[in-house]
Amino acid sequence: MSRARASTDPFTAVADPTRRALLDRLREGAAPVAELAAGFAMSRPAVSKHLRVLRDARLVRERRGGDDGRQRIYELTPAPLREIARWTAAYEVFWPAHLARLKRHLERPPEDPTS
Amino acid sequence: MMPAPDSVAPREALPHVVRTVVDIAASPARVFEALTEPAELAAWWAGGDAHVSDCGADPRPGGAWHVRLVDGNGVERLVAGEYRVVDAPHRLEQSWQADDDAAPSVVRYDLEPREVGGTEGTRLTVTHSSPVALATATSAPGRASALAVHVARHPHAGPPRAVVVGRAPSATLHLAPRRRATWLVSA
Repeated sequence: MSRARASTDPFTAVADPTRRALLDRLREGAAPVAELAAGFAMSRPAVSKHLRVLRDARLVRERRGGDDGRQRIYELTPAPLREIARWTAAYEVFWPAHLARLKRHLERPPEDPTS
Repeated sequence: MMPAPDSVAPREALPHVVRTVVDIAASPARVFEALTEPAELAAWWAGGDAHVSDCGADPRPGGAWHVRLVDGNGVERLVAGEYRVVDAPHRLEQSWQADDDAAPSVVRYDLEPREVGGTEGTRLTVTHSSPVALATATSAPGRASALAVHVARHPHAGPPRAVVVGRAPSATLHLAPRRRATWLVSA
């Protein structure tokens, strides 16, 4: 698994509610910019800017499509979202085990120096 | 082949904070010591087949901390960061970057005195804010407190239990292999 950083990390990219909504929409399938922008109360350039952040974070990818091949179509690329899920899943397991070690350490009976 | 988009479920599926509560039969001062003194850290961070090969702690705001672990296969892992809040014996906050985490996060420890098993003890609440929570708090100041409201407290005297604070983590149903994280979970 590569640790190469995208120019935007996925954690920052998904922190924005509009970008989360865009990801939501793309879950239903790939869509051209115009269609994506129609669902939002903001200008198409503003939506494009959000899509660019998502693309930089590798959460979505762009391809050419449409009848004339000139439409920009966006689709979801799931790997970075899995990274986010992995973070939570890993630490959900880590902390109980880690704190159980701390508890054991602190509740250990004092050592008997004569034994 | 792309997996079906449904399998990643980004819909409001981004948990922000992992919170764990544990009651310990030791005073807050003693618990605080165990969280901040290198010799103590070395003693309890080790577990399973992993041992601590090196650690350091300079518990004052801006001071660095690190723990280097080596597992049974000789694989080395480093977790490091800086102290942000040092308020003995009540509260400790440190940034947290494991060398296989994609971005840094923040861990906060709250220590409350409480009787545990008939003796002076401590309720320790650990709140680990994910990089998403941090980025969210930065991009929209109002949201940090909204996150706090979401927090479900699970006080109990049993073994520690992690609580994900935030929305249902449906994305966790389709995880990437966890092999990079297995060192974290050896008990």
